[in-house]
Amino acid sequence: MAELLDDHPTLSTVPPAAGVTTPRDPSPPLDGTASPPLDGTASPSLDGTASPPLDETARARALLAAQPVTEGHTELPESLDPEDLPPVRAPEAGAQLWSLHVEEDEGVVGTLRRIDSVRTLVATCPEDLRLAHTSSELADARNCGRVAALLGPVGWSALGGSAATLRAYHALGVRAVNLTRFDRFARGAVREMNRIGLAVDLSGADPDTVRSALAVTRAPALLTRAAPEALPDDVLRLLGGNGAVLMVTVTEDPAAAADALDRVREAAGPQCVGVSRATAPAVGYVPLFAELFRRGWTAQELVGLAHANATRALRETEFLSRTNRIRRAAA
Amino acid sequence: MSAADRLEEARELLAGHPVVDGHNDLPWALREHVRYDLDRMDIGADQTGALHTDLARLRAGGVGAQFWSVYVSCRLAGDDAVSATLEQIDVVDQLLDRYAADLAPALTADDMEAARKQGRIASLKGAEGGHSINNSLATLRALHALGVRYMTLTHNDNTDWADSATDEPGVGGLSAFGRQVVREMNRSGMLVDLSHVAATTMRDALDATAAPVIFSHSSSRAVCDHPRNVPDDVLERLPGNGGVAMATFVPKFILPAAVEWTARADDNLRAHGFDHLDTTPEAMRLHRAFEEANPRPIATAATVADHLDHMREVAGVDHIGIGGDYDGTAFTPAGLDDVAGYPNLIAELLHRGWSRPDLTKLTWSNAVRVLRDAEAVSRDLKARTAPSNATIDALDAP
Repeated sequence: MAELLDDHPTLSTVPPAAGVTTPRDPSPPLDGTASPPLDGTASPSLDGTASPPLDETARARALLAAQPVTEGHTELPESLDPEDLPPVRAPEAGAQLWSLHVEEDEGVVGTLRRIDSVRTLVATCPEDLRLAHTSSELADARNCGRVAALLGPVGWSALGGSAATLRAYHALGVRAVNLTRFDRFARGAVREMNRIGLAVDLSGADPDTVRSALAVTRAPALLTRAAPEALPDDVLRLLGGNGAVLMVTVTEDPAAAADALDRVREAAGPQCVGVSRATAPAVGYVPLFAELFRRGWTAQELVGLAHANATRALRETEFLSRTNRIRRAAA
Repeated sequence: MSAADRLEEARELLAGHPVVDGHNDLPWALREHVRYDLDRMDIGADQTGALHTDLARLRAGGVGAQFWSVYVSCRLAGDDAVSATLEQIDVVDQLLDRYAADLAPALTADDMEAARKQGRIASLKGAEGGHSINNSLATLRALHALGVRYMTLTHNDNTDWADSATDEPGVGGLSAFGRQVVREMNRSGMLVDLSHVAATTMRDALDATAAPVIFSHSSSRAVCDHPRNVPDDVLERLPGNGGVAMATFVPKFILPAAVEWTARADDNLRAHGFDHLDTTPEAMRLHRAFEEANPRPIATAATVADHLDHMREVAGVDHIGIGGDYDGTAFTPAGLDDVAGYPNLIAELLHRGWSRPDLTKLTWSNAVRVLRDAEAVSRDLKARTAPSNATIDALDAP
């Protein structure tokens, strides 16, 4: 793990997150030279005496500084007036999936409007946001210090049961569709999504729908707003076999998310965990990651939780699409 | 020069400067005939008798660029019209994938020139009717992002913001929102197409637009008085605007005898209690009986040439083009029966003394220039203005 962090900022450059410092939290060194190991062991200091081991909060903060989070769920602000815009750069976020869900009666036009709004918003904030269509553009945006914006998911009702609409959304940059019911259209639609490279988002789907969708899809599913408590263990195991990523909402109390993530890690595997969003942005992700360090998660697993698992699922979706492109389009 | 020599020269001219055709309804024909099942209607094979269009006949006709119409019927409204438009766009993209050796996707004037050099048919998309955007400027931008490069402001029916040539006067041309649609099209780089619209709408659009306009498939009203054609006062404004009027071949719009014949046939149907658009077996039987008693007047390449002579006189040789409307009309002129027919039109114009440089403007250069100019206007407007999210409720409030 340590080598993953070697080229990244030392603790001195990590901004303190508001409200999470504890009395045990050592002040970051000011000279910027010390780069304490993140495995929690003591490192010898210059004068030969052992410095105290880093506590979990400091380790979590260092990890997140180097490995910003891919958030499964972001919503458009009420107004796109530049005067009214909230700060778009969420602390610790490296990439965000922008939800394109609309009311049932807004349909295709409502979705096109929303896509247009996100594009406009991203264009308005070029210093903060950058549109990304692929996993490599995602990494590229992060390397440029921008938060990558991915379009999706769109809601199932916004497809109007048409594969042509699916392909139009993909052409407009959308990369995930939220399948919430396994209707007649779904089987062919999932195959077409595999073919063109749209992630299947199973957030909010009931266990039977998840089972049906997993029986068809050949790409890892995403659950951008996962609620693991609604899914029995056998479904979690199925999701594990599929390589799905369950992105869990983080509330002010990190214990609830940590419990949910522990269960997913246990039943589906550590490659299946992700985060959806933090409901208390000021608190952010440091308390959760610190809590998981305390529960014995490895740094490697936490990098997966932060972004690597989601990136892997997107990359596999792209790869499958490239190998499938020669297949004929669905009717 | 003999007729055979003229045809030979026309073919040779088209090999260098092929036809940019403004309007072809193949996508709608594929929707109606085979519900987009491209295995059942393969334009890579001979479709004579079933369609006006297939690849071999496009090649024979000297077509170098085609605006494929992603038309949807005015019977579709709201979200259904938008969804159907997405399906029409999708089938064009499927055609481009399937026939990549012959059809080249084109989004810009440069793409058109590149396709000409490769010997492929540059394929562009045009939407036919403002109902395709359901009063949403975001949807207009989405259509542009999906490759649509012109939108006809109306089809046969008025939209909420523009009057059609074949409907009762509504907003009296363009409403305030309609003018905003035109400006947003200018900003996006989508050509404003004034075929199908009322003369009042043509004039309002010419007042509002910052970019050249097109008439994707309309001829001259002075030659044949039909509302689908362009009046002289509008043609006279094209040099100032930089646009291009692309003459269409539809006999019932371009041949006065056919206009009159169609009116009598429609009256005959109405006299028997049918709507003139009725296609039920009883109505069709009546129509056939009428046609047996009254032979249908036949248009020819000379009919189209009459229009082009006049349009050239009024608008100038830099502002005319060709928009056949193949697969969008049941009947076509003799000699221009299908997309293989363009050389006959060029031969007729050679016969009338058109010079080769003038003919290359007509077939290729004028249309490419208009798209290039629209791109320049778009770049300029995008640098200076933000996308508009104006709503029809706000702009057209009573």
